[in-house]
Amino acid sequence: MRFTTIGKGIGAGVAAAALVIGPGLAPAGAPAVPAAQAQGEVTMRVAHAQEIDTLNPFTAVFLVSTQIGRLMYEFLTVNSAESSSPEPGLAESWESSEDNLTWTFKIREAKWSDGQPITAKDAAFTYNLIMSNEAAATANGVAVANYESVTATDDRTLVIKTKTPQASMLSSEVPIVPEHVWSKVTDIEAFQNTEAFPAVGSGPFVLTGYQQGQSTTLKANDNFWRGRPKVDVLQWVKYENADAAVQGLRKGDVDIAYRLTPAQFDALKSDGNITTNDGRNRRFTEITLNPSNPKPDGTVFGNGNPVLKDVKLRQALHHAIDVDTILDKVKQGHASAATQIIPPVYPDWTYTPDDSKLRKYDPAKANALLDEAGYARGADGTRTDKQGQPINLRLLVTSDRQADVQSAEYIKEWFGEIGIGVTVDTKSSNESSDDQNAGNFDMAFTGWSVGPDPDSMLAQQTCKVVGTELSDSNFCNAEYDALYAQQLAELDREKRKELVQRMQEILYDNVSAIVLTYDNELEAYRSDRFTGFQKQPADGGVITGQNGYWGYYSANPVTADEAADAGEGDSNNTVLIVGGIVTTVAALAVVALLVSRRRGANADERE
Amino acid sequence: MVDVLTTTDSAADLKRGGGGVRGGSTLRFVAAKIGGGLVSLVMVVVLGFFLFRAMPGNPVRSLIQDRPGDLAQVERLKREWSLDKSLFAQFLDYLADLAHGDLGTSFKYRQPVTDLIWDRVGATVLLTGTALVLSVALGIWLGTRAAWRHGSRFDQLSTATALVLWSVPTFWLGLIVLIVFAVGLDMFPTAGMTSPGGVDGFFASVLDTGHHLVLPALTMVAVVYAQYLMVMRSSLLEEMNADYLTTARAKGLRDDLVRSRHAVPNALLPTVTIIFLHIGFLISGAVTVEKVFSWPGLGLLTYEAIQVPDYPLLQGSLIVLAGAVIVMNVFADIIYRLIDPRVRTS
Repeated sequence: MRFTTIGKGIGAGVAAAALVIGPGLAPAGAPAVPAAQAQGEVTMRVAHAQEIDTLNPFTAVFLVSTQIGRLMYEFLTVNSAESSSPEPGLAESWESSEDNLTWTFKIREAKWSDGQPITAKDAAFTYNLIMSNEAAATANGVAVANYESVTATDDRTLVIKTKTPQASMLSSEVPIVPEHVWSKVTDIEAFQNTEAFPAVGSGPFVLTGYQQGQSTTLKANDNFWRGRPKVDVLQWVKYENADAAVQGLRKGDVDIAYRLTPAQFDALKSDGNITTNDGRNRRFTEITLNPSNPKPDGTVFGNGNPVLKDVKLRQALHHAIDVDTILDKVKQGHASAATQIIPPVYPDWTYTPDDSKLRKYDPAKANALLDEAGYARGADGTRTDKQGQPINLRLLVTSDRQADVQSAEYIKEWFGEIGIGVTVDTKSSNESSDDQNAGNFDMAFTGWSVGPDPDSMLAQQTCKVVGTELSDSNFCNAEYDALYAQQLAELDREKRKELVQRMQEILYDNVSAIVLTYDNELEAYRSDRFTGFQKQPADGGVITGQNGYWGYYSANPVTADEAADAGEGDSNNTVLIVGGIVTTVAALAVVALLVSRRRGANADERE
Repeated sequence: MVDVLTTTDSAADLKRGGGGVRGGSTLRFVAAKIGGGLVSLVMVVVLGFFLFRAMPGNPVRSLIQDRPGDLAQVERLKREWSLDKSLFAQFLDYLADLAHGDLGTSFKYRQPVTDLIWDRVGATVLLTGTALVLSVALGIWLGTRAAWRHGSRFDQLSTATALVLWSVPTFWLGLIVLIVFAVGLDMFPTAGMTSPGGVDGFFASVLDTGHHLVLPALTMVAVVYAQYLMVMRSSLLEEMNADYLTTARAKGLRDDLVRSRHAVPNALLPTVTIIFLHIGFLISGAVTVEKVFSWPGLGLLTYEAIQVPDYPLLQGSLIVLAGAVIVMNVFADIIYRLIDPRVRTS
């Protein structure tokens, strides 16, 4: 190998690099026009960090995938923007029979994105496919588990018969697919829905392109029954790390970013082109308390500390937690104090205890409860259990949930003050999942994103799921289970509301878990380009992560004139950033120089 | 002195052994190396299966978290993924599939693992390959010059810079590069391997990919070129006082030629070995760089599979990643023997 040839190689490489850098040096206002984007089309880009598993609506289970699915396929009934209560989708009206077992839906006159009419037969085909094909039941099998039969009596009428009355019927969220396309799919399991574009749909947008792990492209559906969206192209761009997504937003590579950290969120506030949204969301954070309930088959579940069976002790633990401090120091104001498992974004289902019942931060009361229950303090101040052993509880925390890791430190301190020792077990999400699944913990941080119908979240607290992958708190209470069955069969929304409230009251009284906070979604968008986002709930809700397509559907492109008036001060920021960088590089250079000096000196000594 | 002696010994050995015998031993050597590689690969295949299943994590729990589930669904998933079977039965299924070249179907993506890996290999090889070529060229060039004039300002500065970059956390450096070049100077995109959705036309898409490649490749080069520089520098330093260089100078050769024709070829050997070993790791890529620049590589695919854990995808990735390392190790052994007569006989 002649060394000189490498030199030439480098030269050639530099030339090639220059070619490549070329487009980047072009004026910033004129980026390369991507494929599938004609002149004058308005493209909105969403940065997402979570993964897409598949875009097949029968098998997609991840949040982003189902989020995109909502844009592609309409449901019979959708969740309203105001409060997530059911309102007409493909079905313009519906009624249930006297015995509450037969539902009749009237399907509206509308067209698929390819111009074919949408009929009740498409809906019947979809439901029957899920009911008859195991693979097709992957994502939505739960919705149809209680269905007896689904038939289209004519093009406009769909009849669903259920085995038992089902109150969650109108929030079932099953994407209806076109029979003329999907009847040709032979293997639902292997089908990705990205084999042919555009993927015929009925939602506001139509899937027109997909690069796995990179981007998903949707175009406005001209035939959407509510009318065509104002955004022409909606692209989902995968960002593997949130900091890069924030930079992409600042620069304008993307128009919306979500799941921001408080630090990122606060930093974006000063950017004149960007509007931040601290949206009330459907997520909550809780600490579950392992009650050591046996599994449904009677076997022992896990190795939780038996003192947690005592409701007085659980109440005392709740009284010892200063939620305001967590809201302030850990969540930095981007959350609200919680009471139970259905967040207030669902006003019909959420539960607020009477002031007399509400367990506030009160260490004195906590101590009194523990004294009363007979947990005396030992010599070192730690309380002892009935066998005279000092009480020490393990608190399981997942290491990638940074806020929980911080909260755990506070909780250790607060529980210490009432004489309860805490060992914080910080584990990887896989390990923590194993421990929770096996019941090998005393207390564990966890949290859920709650759907528009309370049924699923309530089902997670019933006896029959204790010790399975499904259980949330491993709670088991006969009265609760009876009410659970009752609410599911109660089709009168007002009556069902009372039952759901009563169920959560039982959970609260028994301290099935300490529900800490309702966590906001931190999102930010380029308000110099888009406005008019419909939030869900309408009052202070979210744009991304909705139970609906309202946010993306309502987006309004800002015209050139409006854009000129809006946002200045961006240049300021750029100067700051570049200044910071230059300083850093200079600092690095100085370090390099110093190290080189020292190395030089050492080398001399050695020689 | 010892070095010189062995070399002469080797040369003598070489003469004694006839051409035929040497050919035979080479063949035996190659066969032994390949055999060894195959044994390692079999171990990877077996280990991969049990290793990932011994790891913490529950795929069913991970994949039902975002969606309302019921007990029937949990059972359905376990049945679909054969998790209800005994570990040994699962292992036999895995071996049988593997014998047909089938790496199974990913739990998460519901696609054949072979397709998923194949889609990502290109992206990874493009990024890490480009970075390897550039960093080797840069490392050898700087290392040679640094050693030739060791102790000089150039030596001190280039070595120190390389070491500082080598010790900087990759994630941090990547973000700085991103903020400066993609946002501050607005020269490059912030994520991906292509513009979202891709671009039309062959030439345009090559340029587009190249444009996206610059920052991740630059970051990788900055982080890794130090190792080539240091190896090249130290091995050339060892040659600096060799007698043959004095001879070459005595013949009246220019300093440049002494360096490029005599010193560098001898000093290149350790560097070549390192390069081959690194080629093996090319496929596993650089997860960190892929994560900063959202480069859709195999490293990220594997990393994200661990979080489920997606057993078929992990097994498949391990076989491909470890396979690449094993094959390149065998190559390194063989090539080293071919280019260095001393190794052939020892």
